Amino acid sequence: MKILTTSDGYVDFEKPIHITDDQTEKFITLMKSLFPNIETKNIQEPIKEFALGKGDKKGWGDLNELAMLLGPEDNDTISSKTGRSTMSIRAKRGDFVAQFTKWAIEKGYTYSPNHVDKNLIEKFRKETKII
Amino acid sequence: MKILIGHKGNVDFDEPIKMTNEQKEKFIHFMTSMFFFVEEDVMTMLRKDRVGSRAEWPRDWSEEELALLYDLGKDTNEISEILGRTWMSVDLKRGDFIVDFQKWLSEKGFVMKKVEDVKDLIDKFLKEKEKIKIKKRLDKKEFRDRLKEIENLESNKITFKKIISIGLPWGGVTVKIAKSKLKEIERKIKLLEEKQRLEQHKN
Repeated sequence: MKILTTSDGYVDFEKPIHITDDQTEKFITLMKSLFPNIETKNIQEPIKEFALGKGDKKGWGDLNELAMLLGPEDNDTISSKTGRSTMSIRAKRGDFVAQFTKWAIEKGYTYSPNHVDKNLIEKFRKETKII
Repeated sequence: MKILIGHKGNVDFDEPIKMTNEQKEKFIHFMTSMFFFVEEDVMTMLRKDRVGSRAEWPRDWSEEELALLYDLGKDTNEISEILGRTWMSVDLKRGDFIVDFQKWLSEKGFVMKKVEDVKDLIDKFLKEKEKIKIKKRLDKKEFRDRLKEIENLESNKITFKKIISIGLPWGGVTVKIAKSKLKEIERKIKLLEEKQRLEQHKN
């Protein structure tokens, strides 16, 4: 994250920061120790439409679809092949590809996006029970 | 001065805060201890929009943050916490980044045997991506400049043609000069078109 400063001593965040409740508490404590008069104010934030429950409700059990996530095709292509939203594909890719890759490396398997072995995905599913 | 706490977990100041050097030092030290990547940027203008005014606050990803996405020992929650980013933004970026990176590994014939191998490879990957990005940017700029040049030449061509057809000097340009300039412009346009054709053929 970037902290912006000016030559005349002003400090600001580049953008608001997203933090946990625990981090917020620590942050407020620090700020109060530096500026005893600082106040806090709760704010209602606007919500983007896709977060209101229009998302993809289909599960991710299909081996062909999981193989596509590991493969070289872009999100738009997979979206048109599976009928799922690009957002749902991006979200699942982040989660699944990271877990699968970690598992494959730890187990000593090599895979590349151009050679995705569905048997390996099946092994991953059985062993990890993640999907 | 106020700390604004958004209900979705975004925290902000209500306005830039004037700090002494000592306060600033303590503030940055604290932020660095809590977050994985913090950098200071000196600006002349600070932002006006604050938490609550927008649904999303997309931030650019630094190389250091991108490399963390491939730290397979950390789950998305942990990464989100140490980057001060939402879980969703980390998850989406992680998917895009890992797939891109693996495609690149595969194209280059690199095989990753240990998770620890990743740092050097990410460095190479990001450097190459940056080179491609810069080249694309330069190509775009060159294309825009060339387009502008052709537009200017075309507009001058019309003016010189008018002077020749009327047979009278205009704006200090005689008919003789107009004829020679017109020839020059037509030659230049031909050259530019030829260059473009050769480049298209090359690509």
